[in-house]
Amino acid sequence: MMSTNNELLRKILKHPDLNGMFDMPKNIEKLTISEARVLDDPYVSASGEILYQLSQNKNVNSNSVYTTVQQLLKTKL
Amino acid sequence: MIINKVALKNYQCYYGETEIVFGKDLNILLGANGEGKTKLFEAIMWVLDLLNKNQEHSVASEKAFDELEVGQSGTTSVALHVTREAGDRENYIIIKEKVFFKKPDGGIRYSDVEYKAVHETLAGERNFISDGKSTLNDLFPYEYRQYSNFEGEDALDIFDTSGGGDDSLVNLINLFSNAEKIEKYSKIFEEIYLKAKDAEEKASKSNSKIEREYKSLLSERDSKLIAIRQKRELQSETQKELTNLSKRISDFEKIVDNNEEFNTLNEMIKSREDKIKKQDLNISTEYVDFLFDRKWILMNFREVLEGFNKKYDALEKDRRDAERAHIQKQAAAKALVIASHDFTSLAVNVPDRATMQEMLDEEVCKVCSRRAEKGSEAYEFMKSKLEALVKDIEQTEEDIPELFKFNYLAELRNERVLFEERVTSDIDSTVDDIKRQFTLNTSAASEIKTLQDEIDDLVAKKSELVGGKGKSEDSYTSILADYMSKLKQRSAKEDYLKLYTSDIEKLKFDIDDLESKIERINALTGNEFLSLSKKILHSLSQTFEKVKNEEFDEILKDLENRSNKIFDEINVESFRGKIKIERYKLVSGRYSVGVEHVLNNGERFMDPNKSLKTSVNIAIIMAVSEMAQSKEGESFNSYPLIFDAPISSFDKDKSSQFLNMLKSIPGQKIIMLKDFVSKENGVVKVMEEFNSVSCDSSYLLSLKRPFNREDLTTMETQVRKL
Amino acid sequence: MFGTKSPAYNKKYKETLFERFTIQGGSTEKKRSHGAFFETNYEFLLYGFFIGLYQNNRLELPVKSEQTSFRHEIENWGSKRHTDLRRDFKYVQFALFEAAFLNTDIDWLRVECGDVSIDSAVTKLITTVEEYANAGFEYILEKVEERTSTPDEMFFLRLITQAKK
Repeated sequence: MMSTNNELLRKILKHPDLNGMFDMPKNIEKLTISEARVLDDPYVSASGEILYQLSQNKNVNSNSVYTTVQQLLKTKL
Repeated sequence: MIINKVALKNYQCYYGETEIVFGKDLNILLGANGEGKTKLFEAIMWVLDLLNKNQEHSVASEKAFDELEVGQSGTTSVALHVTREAGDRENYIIIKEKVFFKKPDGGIRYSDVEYKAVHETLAGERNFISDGKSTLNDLFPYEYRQYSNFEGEDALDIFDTSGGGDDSLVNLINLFSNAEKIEKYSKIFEEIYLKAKDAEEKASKSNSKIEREYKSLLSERDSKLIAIRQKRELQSETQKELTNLSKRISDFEKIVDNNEEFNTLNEMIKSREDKIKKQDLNISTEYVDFLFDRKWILMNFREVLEGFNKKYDALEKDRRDAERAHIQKQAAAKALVIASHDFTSLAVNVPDRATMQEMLDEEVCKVCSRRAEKGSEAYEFMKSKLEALVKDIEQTEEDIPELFKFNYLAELRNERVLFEERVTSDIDSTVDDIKRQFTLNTSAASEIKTLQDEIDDLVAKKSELVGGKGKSEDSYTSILADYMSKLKQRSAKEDYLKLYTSDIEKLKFDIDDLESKIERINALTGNEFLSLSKKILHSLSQTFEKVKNEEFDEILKDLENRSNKIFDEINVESFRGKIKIERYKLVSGRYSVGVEHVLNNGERFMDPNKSLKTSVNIAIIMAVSEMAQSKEGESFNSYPLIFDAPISSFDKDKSSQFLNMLKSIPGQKIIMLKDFVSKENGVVKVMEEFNSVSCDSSYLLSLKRPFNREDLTTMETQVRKL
Repeated sequence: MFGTKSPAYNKKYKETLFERFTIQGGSTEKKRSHGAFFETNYEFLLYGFFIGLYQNNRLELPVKSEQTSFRHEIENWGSKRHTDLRRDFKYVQFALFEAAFLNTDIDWLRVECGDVSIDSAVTKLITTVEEYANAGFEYILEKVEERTSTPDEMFFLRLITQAKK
């Protein structure tokens, strides 16, 4: 009943609010976090990266996540 | 964790050593009111360290303490034999212990509490652990422990949101789902976005062209944000206070409700006591006083009275006779003397007075047979002689000495008549009078006994009412006073909340205005990358927030469905409505969970009866427990649920149904019940209906008879396996 | 004249009966709870008298040295003007007299003559009273000693209702 982190990723990307902001990856139904974070689209990779960071470390700090994500985005934007 | 056995030693009414073995499913302990059920529940709470300060009390068995000599000591302990899972061979025993001493003055002194544990490994070793508390926390963590027990039906009502919401359900849900994790993620998403935003603003700030204006916009906005945060804090504090107040108020209202009943009982008792006083006055057993006051002492006096009258009358007659005889005798003697004195010339036969009167009338002297006409000398002579004779006789009569000097008898006559008048009817009615008095006394006494029995029943009801809440009678008065002040406080706080809300609204409005100004400048002058990344992160954050809520709603839906399924099973036959569990936003902006009991059309189910309310609560608890069993991603242990008299308002059929349903829900359940038990002539029996209930283990808890509630050393609960 | 007398009784009953069962001074409540139901000495004497009377038993008093008396003239017996809870029962005075009168051998005619002094007659009456009472006390004492528990009001009531020849 409770979503795994992969399922969360898919829920975010498929959410109507984000409709049209980016191109939906073809393998969205099976997309994993690790896969997402290396894709090109900034939305997809950012979501992937954030969730990846969160799932790695229980006491994750928002600063470190932010830094990582910004770095990532710099490369994608 | 499963509790396999609980062992009590000298714990309150559990004198000596008592052991109760539990199965991994449903365990039922039956007992009538006041016979040790709740004490067992408390014992388990005691060893689980779940009693609050007010509930801690002297734990030692009165009987065990009584048996001590001065200076001796005894031990009170409760031990739980547990395993992590059912069937494990690795045992843990958690022991909480207190030693008690008898002081020289006969009073009791306790040592400090000791928490110990024993670990029995698979290899068969027994390791003693001095810090039993940490073992307990390891086996049965506090967050689960605090929600594992329910005392009485009202304690089940942890989901009552009518008072403004309570976090218990949210906490429970967080425990048994990953809602908390998602909440954390959401926070991080938000923070990242804010950092990006911050970065952008920082960059814009350093653009000298619009520096000052920008800076001032930012600072104004920031200070307003701070203001909002402060207000939100105040709001949430006030909200918390309100929630507490509302809870206290509804507690008070429960008591005030009971207070009416309490007052009624008091009135009924008082009126009966007054009646008894009146009847008491009717009873008179001053029999000795009555002997005199009501003349009962004369009961056999009739004989005496009649005897007296006879004797008296006889005496009076004798007296009269004697007197007459006396006068006659004397008169005769005197007459002789006169006769011989004056009529020597006449014949020997002395004429008496009558004869002489005759002679005068006939004018003839009968002595010498000569005529004596009126006026003649002879006539005159006769006349004078007659006169002399009369005079003599009179004198003689006067001269006769009295026979009786006194006349006591005459004095008595009046007295006697009065006396007889006064007592005669009473003498005869004495026996009836006595009988009547006895009848009066007996009927008054039986009336008093009936009233006293009624009073005893009412007093028992009263103490059930009071005792069930663990409060004393006196605290009612102070509670009522508290109640009024709490109502005032609540309305003041509600006013504050309204104030904060409107302040926050104003601030938000201002902030929006400022933000749009800031955005405009950003758009003109800002760093493109930062702006873009901020936008992305903003969208992601907002989206995740929504996902989070949807997740949460799904959990709630799951909980709602499970609850309703169980609810339906508990209440098969009756009109019951549905359970609705929803997320709603609190005034402070936070979310909380509300439980509602509704009709099928969604309207609120008005005034459900107690047993229905109870089954709503139980259904939810069971559903949460069920969800916990199926939680993925962790090796999840179930924990026991312990209930004390949770279904007392259920009728017998419903109770059996409910218990059978319970059995089908996973996890260990331990329930103390007062249902299925009856007391007849002081003997406690288990009712037949209980045979249709299936469970792992069942026991009957009852006090050893005879016992005296005034003397705690006689109150000893015995445990019998069924 | 009868009324001016105050009858005597056997000393031995003073403690065993009188003091036990009469409330003379001391609080009424306390005494009642200890089994003293007769408010005054004379009440108890009357009680003993009637027992003896109904049983038709007389018992001569011992020598003067063994006698004692309470100073309360018969003419004052039964007057309860000072109490709310009790009634006057002066009628007992005359009842006493009647019983004495009936059961005493006196040649009243000679008394009325003056041959025999009224004083001596009254003394004889009083002696009758004393003797019935004496017999009564003997009987009461016996019954009290037979009991294992303190006599209650029912005991006294029963004793007299059952007193017959």
